[in-house]
Amino acid sequence: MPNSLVFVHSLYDPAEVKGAVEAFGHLANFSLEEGDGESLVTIDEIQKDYKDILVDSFANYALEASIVANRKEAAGDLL
Amino acid sequence: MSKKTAKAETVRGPLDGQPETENRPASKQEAAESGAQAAADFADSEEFTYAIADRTVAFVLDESLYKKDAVFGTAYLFIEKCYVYLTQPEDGQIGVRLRTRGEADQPALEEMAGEFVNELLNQMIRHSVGESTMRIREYYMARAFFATDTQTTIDDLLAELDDEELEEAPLEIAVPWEESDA
Repeated sequence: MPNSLVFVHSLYDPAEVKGAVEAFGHLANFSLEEGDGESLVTIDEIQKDYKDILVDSFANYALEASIVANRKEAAGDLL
Repeated sequence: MSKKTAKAETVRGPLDGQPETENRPASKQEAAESGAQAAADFADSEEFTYAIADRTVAFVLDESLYKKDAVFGTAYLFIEKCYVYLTQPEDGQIGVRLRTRGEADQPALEEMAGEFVNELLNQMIRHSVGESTMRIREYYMARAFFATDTQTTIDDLLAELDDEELEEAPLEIAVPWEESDA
């Protein structure tokens, strides 16, 4: 059964969600749909070894990348 | 997912008509009692509600109370400890879902939620202090990097030294020893 995660753009950077899909792409079958103010990620056919942790790890990765991007944006030219 | 509510305990201090306050002037005592009552009402009314399921605790934060940057700062720290997923149940709200990496019982999940909220307050204070001291930090940075006064002062001092007639010093302190021997 596929897992679906909604990443709202006010909290998650859509570019970073896309980057997370690319980073985890070899471990499962990902589909990414850009909606109105949110990205819907559906994860299916997860490799057996990563079944228990992949969805949560993916969400963690996307969040961390989004926070880092948010801080860089806030810092502007200083970084 | 079961729903739990953690209520803050009402802590009543000596301002509730205890002997310590008996000698205070009436107006001050009234004000203190009013403040204590407000604190007690706050403690009675404010609830921290969270839902607990297998390895997971979830709760909703009001964005008017907790700035998004503070939530991000807290979430960033908790990414190391557990799995964090943020949602937006409604406008002006941030949903937080924490899932442990291993097995966890209910007290452990409650403790994790409490730690998250404590760290959130810590981040709020950091943010607030950062904002209130931003101008003075900018001022010092600007002084350190862009001030030209220092250079002018050094130039002035060097010029002043050049103007002095050191050769005429009676003790010849400024004359090198090789020259004074000769």
